Amino acid sequence: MGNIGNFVSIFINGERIEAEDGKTILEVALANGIYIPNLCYHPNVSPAPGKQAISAVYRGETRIEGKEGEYEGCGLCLVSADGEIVKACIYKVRDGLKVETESEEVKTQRRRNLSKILANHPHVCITCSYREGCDRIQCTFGYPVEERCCDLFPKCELRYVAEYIGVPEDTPKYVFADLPVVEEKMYRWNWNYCIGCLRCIRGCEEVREAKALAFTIADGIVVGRTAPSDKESGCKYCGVCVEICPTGVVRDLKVKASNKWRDSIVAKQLPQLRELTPLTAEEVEKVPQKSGVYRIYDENMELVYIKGTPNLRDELRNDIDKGEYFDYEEYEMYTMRESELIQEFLQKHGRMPKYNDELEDLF
Amino acid sequence: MEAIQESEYWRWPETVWVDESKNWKEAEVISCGIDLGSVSSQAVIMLDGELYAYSNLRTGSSSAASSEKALKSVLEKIGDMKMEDIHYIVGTGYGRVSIPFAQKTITEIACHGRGANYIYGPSVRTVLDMGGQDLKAIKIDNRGKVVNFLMNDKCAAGTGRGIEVVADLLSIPITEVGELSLKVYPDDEPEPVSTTCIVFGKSEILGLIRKGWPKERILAAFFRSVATRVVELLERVGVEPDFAITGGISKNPGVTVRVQDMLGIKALEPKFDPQLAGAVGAALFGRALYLKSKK
Repeated sequence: MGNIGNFVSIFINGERIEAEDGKTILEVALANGIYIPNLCYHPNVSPAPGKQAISAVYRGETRIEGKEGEYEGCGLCLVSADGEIVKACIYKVRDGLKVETESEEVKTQRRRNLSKILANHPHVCITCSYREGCDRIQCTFGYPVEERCCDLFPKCELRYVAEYIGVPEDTPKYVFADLPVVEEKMYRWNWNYCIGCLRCIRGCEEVREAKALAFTIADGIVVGRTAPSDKESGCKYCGVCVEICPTGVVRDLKVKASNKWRDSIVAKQLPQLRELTPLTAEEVEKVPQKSGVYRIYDENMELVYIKGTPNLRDELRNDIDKGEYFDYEEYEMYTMRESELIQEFLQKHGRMPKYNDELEDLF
Repeated sequence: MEAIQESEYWRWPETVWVDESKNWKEAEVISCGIDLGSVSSQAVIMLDGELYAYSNLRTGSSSAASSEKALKSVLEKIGDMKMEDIHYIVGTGYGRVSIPFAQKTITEIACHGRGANYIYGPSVRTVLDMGGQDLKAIKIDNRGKVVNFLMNDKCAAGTGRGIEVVADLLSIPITEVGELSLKVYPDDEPEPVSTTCIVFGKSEILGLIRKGWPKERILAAFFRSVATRVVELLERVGVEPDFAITGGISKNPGVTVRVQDMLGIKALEPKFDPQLAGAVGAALFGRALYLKSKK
């Protein structure tokens, strides 16, 4: 314990954890495999709360006047620290700190804050029971295009966080505000999708050292450029904003041009939406002998296999060596469900799960 | 035409075929692929990785019985081949696990990619599979291996079943609807029906019948909307040439001509029936699996 001066002991949900002094609760929790929902936080940039607004921003030629002021944060990473509700993304650990990540009170407050975000963002697809296996081009329930999620849905961070926190029943209906869609030389900005998390602003400023983006406060957070055009705002066309945006606001207009800044943006850790069970003979015997789909994960909880079967228990017995954890769902049309889940994985990761790729040597 | 009974306009012709020029007894590996889809089932027999015989039948209410019927028909057509003569059988399609005699099942996505590679050649990168109950846009590499795909199985719009419903509604045999719709194409093409949802679309089409629209115009409006929907799906996954269409609807020029024109890309001409892609892919995997098992 040579570094004893730099380390402190904290307790997260009763579990004792050695943490580096000066780190935030969120950083310590995530590094120790404990998920705390979060949205405006991104590991490449500084925390958002306290970020200062300016008096006006631009969306295309349109100038939006507002007030200066301070951003409070998305409010989704709330936890209880020694009984007080705090933002885990800025609250620093100290010796003996007791953190509760899933108390009823923090869950209620997170849901309330999520509800405010979703009120201004299309979200019908997030709660739709047909959400997987749907291309969102046609809608069985007849929702207008503007109210549906965009094509980034399979890997949308907001969606995963919303599913984890749970969308409250009383979330206001999203009303399409017909905000500008601005096409620039390299990017298309669809401001209808903006949730005001300021990640693009911090990425622009801290990763690329440009100040092409900013926000003002006018009937809520309004993000935009610091000048009427990309060039005038000082945009260096690095694409960090595209990588760091948690929704589909800013996209490459034509082709994605890679560079070191853009490649430096790490993928965020997303919540595990279903509880995983250790893949042991004992646990497999508890699985019903019914049709459905199961997924197998390795020791790092990475998904390695998706399989649809008429008999979950029997089939799982054969696959017990494929990983360390699993989850399953009963599903009558399991072949279809299997394809849906593979599609979702493929779009999220750009490749097949490890063992679904076993056909490799058959080509 | 007179033979078609009322309300059976959706019924498409079933096919059983064998390449008489080949002698299966000379083959080293006989593999079989069975694609049990929601609307149609195919059984394909390949000799050393070359297409030899196939059947293409309508799927009945029992998946197991449909797969048996498909295999039995093709074996009968060949004459002297028995199921025991086949070295490896792979099942695919939505009903793949209900094929009692399949030694292995493989997803239809993988099989369609591989099959399209065989039917259209190694230059194919984008495959549009228009099946009985879903639509898939599949990107493949030069070996036919899937690199990306996007599908819709939640909506019957633009699927084979949807077209069957419309054929029935207009009392026109399904084999003729596509050609008929092209009578007004492209100069006199009407606006697409506003919804491609087959449930709502049906009432919209009934409305057009009542208005006295000629059938070719109604079909043109319907296929236009199907094509629009398909092109949107393709654009999402990104169309990279060469482009090919598989599945039952690939035989419907009313859809394929419009899709190609809207994309501005010509689809490749198939060397064989493109409805066989899934079963061909399964049979090719079957051959590889057999060879691997012998090593």
